Amino acid sequence: MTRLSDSLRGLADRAPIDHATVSVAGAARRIQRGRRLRAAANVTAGVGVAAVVALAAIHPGGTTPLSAADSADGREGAGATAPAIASAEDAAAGWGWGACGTRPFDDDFVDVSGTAEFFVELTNTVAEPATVVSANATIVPSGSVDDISAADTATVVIFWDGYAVARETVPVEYVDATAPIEAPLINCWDGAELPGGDYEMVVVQEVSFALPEEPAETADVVPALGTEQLVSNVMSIQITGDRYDNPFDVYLFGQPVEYPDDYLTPATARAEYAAHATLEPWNMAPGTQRVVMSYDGLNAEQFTSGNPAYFGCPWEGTMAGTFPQESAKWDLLAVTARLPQRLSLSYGWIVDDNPEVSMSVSNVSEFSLPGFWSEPNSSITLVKDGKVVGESYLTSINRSEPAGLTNEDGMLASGATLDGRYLWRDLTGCWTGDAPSTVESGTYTVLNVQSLYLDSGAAGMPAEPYLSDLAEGEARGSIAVMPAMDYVEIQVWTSLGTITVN
Amino acid sequence: MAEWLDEMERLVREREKALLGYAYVVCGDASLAQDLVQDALVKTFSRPRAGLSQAKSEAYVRRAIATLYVDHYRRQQRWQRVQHLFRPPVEVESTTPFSDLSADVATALGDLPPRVRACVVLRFFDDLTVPDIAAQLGLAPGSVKRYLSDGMRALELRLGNLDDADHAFSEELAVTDHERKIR
Repeated sequence: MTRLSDSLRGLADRAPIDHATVSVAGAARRIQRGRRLRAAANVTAGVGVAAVVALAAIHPGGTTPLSAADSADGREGAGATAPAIASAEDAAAGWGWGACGTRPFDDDFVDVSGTAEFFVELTNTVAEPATVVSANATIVPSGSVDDISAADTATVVIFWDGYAVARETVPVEYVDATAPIEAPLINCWDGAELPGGDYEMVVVQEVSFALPEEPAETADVVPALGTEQLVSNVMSIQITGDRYDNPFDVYLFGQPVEYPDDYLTPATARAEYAAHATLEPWNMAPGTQRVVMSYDGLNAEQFTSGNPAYFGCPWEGTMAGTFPQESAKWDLLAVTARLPQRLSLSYGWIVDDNPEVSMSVSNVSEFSLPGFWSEPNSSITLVKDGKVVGESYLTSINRSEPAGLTNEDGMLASGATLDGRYLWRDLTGCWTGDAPSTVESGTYTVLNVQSLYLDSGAAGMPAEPYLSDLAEGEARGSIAVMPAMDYVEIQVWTSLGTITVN
Repeated sequence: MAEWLDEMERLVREREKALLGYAYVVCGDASLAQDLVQDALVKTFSRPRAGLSQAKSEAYVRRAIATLYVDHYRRQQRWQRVQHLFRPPVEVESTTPFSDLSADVATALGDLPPRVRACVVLRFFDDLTVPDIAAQLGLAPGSVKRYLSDGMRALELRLGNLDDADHAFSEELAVTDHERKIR
């Protein structure tokens, strides 16, 4: 026999996660923002030490010493002062600065004066597609700090319409405070070449330097170091070649979902539901049906606790267990089923007869409805006196060859029908305390529910509102603003008649 | 202040694959696993914790992964109904293909509702007791037992009899070697 614990560990060892990665920089950035520890711009000894420790973890070794004398190259005061990201928390944030899809220039900078100025000059302001951009970087130490050293890598970030769309960390070697830099013109998501267009570019260079000495308590104390991440002047660069409208929308906002023209959108679903809504109680007579709006993404608070639209076993005692007060008489799906008239139940298992259930769902609406990939939802709910007492999930009749995908897009077109054949193997009474209740002998109403999850697509329906998903006080642009995924979930409840349980 | 940052960086450098693998077992989706680990790191290291060792921090992150996974569904109040919305997982190309058994386990896990799946993983991967799982996920112990019962029944239907199925409700940890605790 198999040990489940061993199987799970084997699964973890061989999980298909080859292409999955975890971004320390991204996590650090979010943590720092969460902590709201915006320190002053000045680099103090304490945070400076912390910052360089963190820096060393990313770039062990590999710095190029610069000196104040290097500033004698005539560049002093020649351009804008380089903004810099300094202090431990900002250094952490700096690792993620210019991450794909972000708008880092919307964030606050910490302007550091007195350490160094950082200039980059493009060798080619016009570049062919799929080539490299070349530049010369110059660090001009101000002389206010000692032993300034540049890390042996720099990060080239290219922007399109304010969004970071290319980000490449490249090796640099400073000679006389100047280093040539080359970076490929590829995007930072999948490495595809940047299409033709007008872009902006900056280079981020980390430097470390000695902090003013503090009285040493021991002879072997390590000198304190500070770090800064210098951000260069902004350069314009043009890439020749074909230009496209919104060339990065797929990366920034996701692949547009193309729904049929008659797709039931969340907005339409809300309107239709409201038009057919009723407070009239449902008597659950055979063949009757009610539609429930079980979740609304624009009105989430209503559903976050004690969901008034929930109907099912009163799990954990948090649900009333009775059919929702409000529902709708809205013809969406015609659900029919052939059920046994009686079940013999023993310890939750159905004995005798091996009953077969056939079920059919037809779309009687004018809309295409999603979520119907292969078979109807075959869950069965038993109701007594208006309350759910048991549930069952039927087993597809063909165990060796599970049903394949019938609809590649999961859509049930208007007028289309989906069938399924199942075996009814068990019936679980609703749990009370720590055990399922026994379904007593008697006659019960049988209900089936078909759930429809209707969303607006990742980017396919621009008429929907936008959400920024930013924490209070967080700078806009630190997270790419995504179109809202508007969605609703509706349930079509159908009474399939009654059944007698022995 | 950089101590946590150093620890987080070290944890990811040394245990990234293990954490991603664990998250995959919890959720069954490589992309979601990546998000779960990332979110779990943020959750774990957002709170100052003195003397956080690597073993401890990994344990925190693992717990956070399971909790975040369940919270994701709890927030949306959809977990009761997602069972029938579950579809066969999308095939993910991997350079380390599953063995038949791993594929079966992955498929069987994929059919479990989120809370049931989380309970099964915490019980049989992390060796947590029922009360510990309940505390971890914010559920009643009875609910955990129910989920484990449902989960084991569903898994045994797919995988056949499982050697350790009887340990589902055991209060004793089924640890047979120390290495399990830090995998």
